[in-house]
Amino acid sequence: MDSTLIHLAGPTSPEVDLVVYPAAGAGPSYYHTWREFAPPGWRLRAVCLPGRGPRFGEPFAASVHEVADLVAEAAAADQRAPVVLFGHSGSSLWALETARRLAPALLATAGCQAPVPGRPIEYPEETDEANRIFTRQQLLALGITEQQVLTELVEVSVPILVADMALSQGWEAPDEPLCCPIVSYFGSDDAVPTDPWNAFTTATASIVTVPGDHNFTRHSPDALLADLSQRISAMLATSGRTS
Amino acid sequence: MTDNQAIAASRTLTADQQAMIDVCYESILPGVRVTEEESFFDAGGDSIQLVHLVQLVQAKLGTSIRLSDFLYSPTRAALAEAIVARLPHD
Repeated sequence: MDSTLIHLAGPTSPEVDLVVYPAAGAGPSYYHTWREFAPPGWRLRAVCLPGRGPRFGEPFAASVHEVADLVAEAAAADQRAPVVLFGHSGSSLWALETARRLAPALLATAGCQAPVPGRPIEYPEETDEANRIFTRQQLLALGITEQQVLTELVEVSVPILVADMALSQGWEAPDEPLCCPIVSYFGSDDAVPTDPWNAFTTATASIVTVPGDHNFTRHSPDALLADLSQRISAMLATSGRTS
Repeated sequence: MTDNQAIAASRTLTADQQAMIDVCYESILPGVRVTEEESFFDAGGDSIQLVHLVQLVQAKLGTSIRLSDFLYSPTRAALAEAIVARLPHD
């Protein structure tokens, strides 16, 4: 069985196949809270890249292209409805690259500044200490408070974060636009610049601001999922009329 | 196998401890029947739930198991083995 996509919720005959990318440094558990929020017609599957979750110990992917190949192949192998790709923060870039292979009905990005076509991504070099502090904060926010477990988990998690950031480093956003619409969600209290992603589609590129900080996808997904649900319903109604 | 491991392996969990592990699993994965050798992930758990389970087992059973005892082999059997191995020596 392919382990790249983990089934989180939804029926065997869904109206839509939602494939969600965890944030850099995270695994499928990033979308734990979505199980209860996802509408009944959605099949919700989370990307599980090598080296995390049930794939602890596997060597990390080496490039955004490798990630996009893995996910596109897994999604196409068992596609049961129109695909919607969703990325959070840095993984929005991976969702964009995946969309070039998979031709989804909709690409959704969250908390991610639009890249510039043809320009390589350059993340600032982070110190090991900064990565540890960041990871520790993320884990504390998830209620992992027992000190020894927390310390162990930081040790396990920092290499995942480092590997994920290294993936995108130097990757060039595509010059050729997609055909599907793009919706980009931003948190009202996030510092990410809210530029539109219109350079990447010949269809519409929308911007939606929802309450929350950078982690709104995980901590307060209600408004985002309500909007996404509306968009997907409208999309399905349109395709139903034309087919 | 060292003497310590042999001593540890010869011990088994009490019925109370087994019942307490059931309570921990039920709390993290409600309504899921998890067999001895089944991976926590295959049972529908994710890595954050796995960590919460380890924290819960530590608290409920007063054991000093480590995350790494369970993370790379996340089965009930491995959990029991780790609890036994980390029991204070008499």
